[in-house]
Amino acid sequence: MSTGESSVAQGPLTCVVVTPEMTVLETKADFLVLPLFDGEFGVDRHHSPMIGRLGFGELRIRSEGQLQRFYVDGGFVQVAGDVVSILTDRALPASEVDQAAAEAQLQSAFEQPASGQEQLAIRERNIARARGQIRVAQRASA
Amino acid sequence: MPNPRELDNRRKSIRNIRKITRTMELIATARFKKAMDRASAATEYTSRITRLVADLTGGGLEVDHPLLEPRESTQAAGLLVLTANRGLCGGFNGNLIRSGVDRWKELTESIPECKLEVSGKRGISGFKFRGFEPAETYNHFEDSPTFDEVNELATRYLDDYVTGKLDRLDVVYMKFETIARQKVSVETLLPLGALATADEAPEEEAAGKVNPLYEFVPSAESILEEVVPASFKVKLFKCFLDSAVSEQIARMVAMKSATENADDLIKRLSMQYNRARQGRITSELMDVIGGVEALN
Repeated sequence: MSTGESSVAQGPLTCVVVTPEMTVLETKADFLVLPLFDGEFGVDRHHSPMIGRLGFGELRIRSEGQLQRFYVDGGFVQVAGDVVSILTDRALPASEVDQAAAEAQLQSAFEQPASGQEQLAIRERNIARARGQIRVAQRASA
Repeated sequence: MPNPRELDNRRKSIRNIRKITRTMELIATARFKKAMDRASAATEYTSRITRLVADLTGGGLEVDHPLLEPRESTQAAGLLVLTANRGLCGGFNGNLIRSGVDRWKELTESIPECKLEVSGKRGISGFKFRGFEPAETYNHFEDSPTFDEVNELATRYLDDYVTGKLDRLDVVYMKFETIARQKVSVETLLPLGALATADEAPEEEAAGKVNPLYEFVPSAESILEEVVPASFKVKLFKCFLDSAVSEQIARMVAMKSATENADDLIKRLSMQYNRARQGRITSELMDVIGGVEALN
């Protein structure tokens, strides 16, 4: 893409994870995998500019052979040049995800009565969030 | 003739109080710095969201979302008043409660169903004293509110709004403008009105670089649908952060003037005490001298 060329920098990607509270992480990365709303999405260097919606799932950052895993609670991702900005409500290392709490949330989401389109959507979201957490926790402990 | 011992006792107790107010001032200063750091760490997210919205709308996208449109008729309204858990911070709580009560009266006059929510012990007791019973009270927001705590509230408001249980949400809080200026702010957070757009971003930065052509996954509309609730949450979170910072500033200022006042009092009492002591010595001397005179 011709417009992208001017902003293409050499070297690794810069990955910035920002929550409303603070900047959680700012690191160099060789490759990263984002949990988009409909599945995982890999970003290597020289990616075309992109804005995407994140789902509830695992963010993996590979840099110099090291693999870091994070749980990301929805939000957005913006890829511009070689900077990947991740805006999310909550981001925490995968090992800190509380599986028991997530299972309790899943249970209560199932039990919550839903009538009408809006309430169904809310319930769907809660279920997706709890399932995402459980998945990340299981992978982290495996 | 005042009693020197009494004066001395008063001076001592004022000294003790001065020690306390001075310590509280120092504590408030330390807490203020911490709260300020948190607040400035939070601006990163806001500015990135603003840029994201600018990039989204740069493609000529119409911003259209139920959260942005006012309802045709407002049946249910909510009022959230953010006060402090502790007192001794000057007019902070009083001003908030006064504005909160005014807005509450306005709301109850025009809207059939109103719900009052108060955060902070001072506000809770202030509203009860004035005869308003809050439907919900929170006192777990200390001087460092976390996003998770605020998110819980925000999600509930959003869910209520989307399902039609809430048509309007007002927030009364102390807005932080500069270190020397904070004022009570009554804002309508729901409906949001307008998204923060590129006007707030630095102009030269926007003009300087060529806007890359973004690929939207899944689509610009779908992303926008998520951006709107996120920006509401951030706005509410910012209210809490502002309130925490302002509370510490208010306490700092109040305790500073209390300490200064104690200094003045000590000075004045010292003068009175010295005068009284000298007066007593003089009168005793006069007695002795008078006695000698009489013997001659």
